[in-house]
Amino acid sequence: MGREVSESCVESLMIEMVSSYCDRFYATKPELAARRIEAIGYQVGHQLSERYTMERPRFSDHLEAIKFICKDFWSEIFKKQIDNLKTNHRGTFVLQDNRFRWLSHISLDPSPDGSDTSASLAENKVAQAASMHLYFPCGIIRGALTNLGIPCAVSADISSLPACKFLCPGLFICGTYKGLG
Amino acid sequence: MGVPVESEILDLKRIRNEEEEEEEEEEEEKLQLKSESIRKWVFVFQNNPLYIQSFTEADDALKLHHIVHCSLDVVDERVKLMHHSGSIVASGFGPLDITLAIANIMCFSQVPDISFATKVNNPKKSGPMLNETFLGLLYPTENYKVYGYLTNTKVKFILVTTDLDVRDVDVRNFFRKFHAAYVDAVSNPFHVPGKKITSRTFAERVSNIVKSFGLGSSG
Repeated sequence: MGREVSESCVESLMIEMVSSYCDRFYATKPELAARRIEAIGYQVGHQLSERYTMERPRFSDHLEAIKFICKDFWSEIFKKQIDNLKTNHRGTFVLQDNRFRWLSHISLDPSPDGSDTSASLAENKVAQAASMHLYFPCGIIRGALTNLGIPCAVSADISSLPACKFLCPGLFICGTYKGLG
Repeated sequence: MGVPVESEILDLKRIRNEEEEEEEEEEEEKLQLKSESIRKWVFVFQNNPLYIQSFTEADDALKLHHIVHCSLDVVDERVKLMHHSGSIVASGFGPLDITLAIANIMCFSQVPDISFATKVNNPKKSGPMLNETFLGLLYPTENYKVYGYLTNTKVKFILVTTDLDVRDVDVRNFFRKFHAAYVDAVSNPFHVPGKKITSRTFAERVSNIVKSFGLGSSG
């Protein structure tokens, strides 16, 4: 218990994983790459949730489980908690991390044809690259929640947040669908 | 209960697709144990065993199976009772309604209680058993005592013992150690969730825990 891994190693691994799936294995099918990355995240989340809930009382409802994800789970992984949690009380939750670690060191490869690309195009590219890196944490959240008995769909959204270079916000939207409550 | 054993592939597919109706997806693990070298374990995923280990020399496997299956219902009953008050309003969102959900963001309200301060005191302390993983004695039969443990991830551990004057502390300890072993086993990247645990290391660890059952806390 309590073994730690160098953050830079984790980050390098993450970046390498994303780039291998996007540029090598499924270079022509970005959707498939995204699905694969998300599936890896799912497994990781599944296992982590098993471990991190070990000494805890059971959750009585969905909100409690989500809060667990926001606080304890997030701080186990990122050493910080989710900054903002919103819900519409109908099963959808929005988790906002104002400084998402795994995006904080991302920078864009300067494009080779470079000089006259417009700013909006570059921004678009950054968003695209960042969204590729968000499939893994999405999978983690989905795996954890599913394992806690809350099947859900998780998507990440960075476009709706102000694009600030230094804050690197990550926004996760968990749509749960409840059958049995 | 008694949901027929499904193939895990189907099961995983269902999770992936997320389109079918949510059913009571309970991973259950059962664990039976009888003391004096008459012990047995069963784990159940959706009521199919994840791990069965008999420490029994006598030929009563069938009987123990029966007891464990009965106790699964008891676990379900207890959980339902506990959660009865906290029933959740059904949501209109299906898995594919995510776009709708995003459109609704504007009307999201702040969750009031998300102060992000660690709670020191649990206000629900009055009901100590309420959400504890350890369920305590499920029911006594004439020859056995059946204990239950339900993890946050809805995995059930069942312990059956012939030792009639076993102490609660021992059982708690036992489940705690066992849970740790279980978590390590399922964290193996080669383990498929919902599939039987075949790890030899796990089996060894479990038999060690069984051997030390009741010894640890006496000192």
